Amino acid sequence: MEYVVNQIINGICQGAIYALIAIGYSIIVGVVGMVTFTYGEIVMIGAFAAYYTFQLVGTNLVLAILASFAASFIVGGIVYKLCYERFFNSPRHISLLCTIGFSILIKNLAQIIFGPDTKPMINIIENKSYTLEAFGISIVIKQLQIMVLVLVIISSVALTFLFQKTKYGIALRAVSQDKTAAYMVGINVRRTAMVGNCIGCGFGGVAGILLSIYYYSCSPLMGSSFSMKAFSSSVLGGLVDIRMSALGGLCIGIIENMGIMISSATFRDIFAFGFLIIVLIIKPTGFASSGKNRRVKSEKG
Amino acid sequence: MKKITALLLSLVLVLSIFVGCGNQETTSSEDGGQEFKGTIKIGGLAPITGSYAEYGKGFKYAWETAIDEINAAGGANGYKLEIDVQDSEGDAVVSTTLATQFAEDEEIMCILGDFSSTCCLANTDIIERYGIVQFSPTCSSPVFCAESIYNFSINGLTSVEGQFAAKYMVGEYLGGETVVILRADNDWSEATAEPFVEQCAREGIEILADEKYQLDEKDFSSIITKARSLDPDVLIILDQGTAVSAICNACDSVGWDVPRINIGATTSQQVADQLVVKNLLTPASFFFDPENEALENWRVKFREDTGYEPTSHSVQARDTVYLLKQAIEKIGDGEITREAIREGLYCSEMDGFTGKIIFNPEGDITRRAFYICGVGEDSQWYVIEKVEFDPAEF
Repeated sequence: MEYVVNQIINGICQGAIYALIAIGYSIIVGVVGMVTFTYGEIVMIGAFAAYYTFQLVGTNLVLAILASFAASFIVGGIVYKLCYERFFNSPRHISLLCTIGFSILIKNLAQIIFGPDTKPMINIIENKSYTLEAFGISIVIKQLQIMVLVLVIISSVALTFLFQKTKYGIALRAVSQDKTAAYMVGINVRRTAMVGNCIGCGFGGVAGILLSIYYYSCSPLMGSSFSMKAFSSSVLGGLVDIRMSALGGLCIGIIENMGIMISSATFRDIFAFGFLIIVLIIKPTGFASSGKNRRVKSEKG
Repeated sequence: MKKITALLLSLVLVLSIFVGCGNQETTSSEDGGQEFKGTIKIGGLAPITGSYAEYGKGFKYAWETAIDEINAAGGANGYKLEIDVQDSEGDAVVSTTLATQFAEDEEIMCILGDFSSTCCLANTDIIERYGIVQFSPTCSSPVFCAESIYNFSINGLTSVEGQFAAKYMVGEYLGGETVVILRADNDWSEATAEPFVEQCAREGIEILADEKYQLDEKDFSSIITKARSLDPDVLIILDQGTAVSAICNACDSVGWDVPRINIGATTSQQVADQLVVKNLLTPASFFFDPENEALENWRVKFREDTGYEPTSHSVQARDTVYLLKQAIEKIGDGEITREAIREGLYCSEMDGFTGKIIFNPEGDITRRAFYICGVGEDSQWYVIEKVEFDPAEF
């Protein structure tokens, strides 16, 4: 029983990491209205920004988070200018291909600039774990796992507040739903979409620093494997729904770990993507309400 | 008519001179004041990027500096050596593509590399078809050299390493009675795990679990939870990449201080640097002897030029170039062909930086001693014990 509970905790924590990446992904897809393939690299840029901040100023987590957010925000702006803005009125696959190309470019540039090695990120946060005793079961949870979970919850709540309650958030939603209508009511569509994209990328950067601290390392190729899981989490959550994308990430993490518990770690992806396929067969809109998905459909034209 | 004939003859004469320039045997080249009989081109396969980048970059450095040394000393049998090192990314698909490119280039006389057994084995069909030597510094698969007469390696077999770790490290050094194996899902780990498990059975050591994970695995919390629930005396990690430190760190993050043995990464500096708690043992067939002046100078220069410590893999890479030099010298005045290099390699032997190298009939070597190494608090590897053994005992 103790073993099962600990595996569920592992699943929740792993899912929280997927959720954190998926949140930023959902913002980008929601605001820009197009799928991106550069997100894994944005996460990697955030991790390296943190790595060099630690190298320059020592272990200052707040400063590193700010640096990660800023670096990814800026790269997000470049991605937007090069891959989206020019092609708003072009077929969707043009932007999609551009993001694939840009992703390869960033990955290769990173290997040239940062070097191909895996950089150690150890002793940033105290390597501490807590053992909770309940009903005769010992549950081990790491300090960093708690931190990731808390950050996911705060991000989800803050972004939901931003999107639902603020004027700027409403503008972002308007752009997400119908760019032409948003333009007609006086919203600067291009700037709003760009800032929305950059905010999503900034969150990717913050996810990058947590990932690198969590796994004690960062490398130019670190983003690729996570971006696919983030995309799956986002799809599971209905692509544009931030809270549901976070839930999608959590579910994938838990399902993966349950799968490992009963079989082998080599089948991790089979369980994750198998679960995704089953959910989409039963409910093609994912966890999101069908109303939200209709909105995406009409926006995508 | 005579003028036209003379013109044509002159043209043929000029063309024949140019055609002759492509022949290594008949022309000479000059480089930095050195006179060479010609140039012998070598293809190099190394994972310059990806999880094994530390080793790949070490290969590249070791090959290029050894070739520079040889050329500066007059070349190999009077020929200038030239190497074209390509990044195989530690990926069998990329490696086979590059191996095909090298094999199809008739100027390339031999391929050095690749690093991993997976890549080397994937290239075997290609090198067999084109009849070109694939000389790996590190391939340790027991079937590699047996599969083709063109395959050579100076690493020694991973099966012996696995048996050594079971008998001398788990059994005698740590006194462990139960182990859990965590390993990357590839053919190298398969080839290492099998003899390790067999030796454990002979030593009375119980295998509680043999858990595989994907090659690009990042999160080891769940398999560590699984392994910990079995409470083994020793944790065995069969991997060559950065997953080794990730697994150790995942153990430490939940306060599990079980003794750990890694087979595969040997004395990797990258792995040592990335360990939060310096709790890791590894068997190594070679360790830097500070009393060997030439080796120590090479190590210092390596560190100065690359910024990190060389592993035994880099030293093995250097030795492959000197063995190749010897193979070329054995050809003597004969024509330098791919086949001649293969035959030359078979009868080459030398005292390299990594010790005495004598090929067995399959083109591999047999190790007779291993160092048990551990990481110190300063992230440096230290020899705990040197164990000499007779491979026949396994």
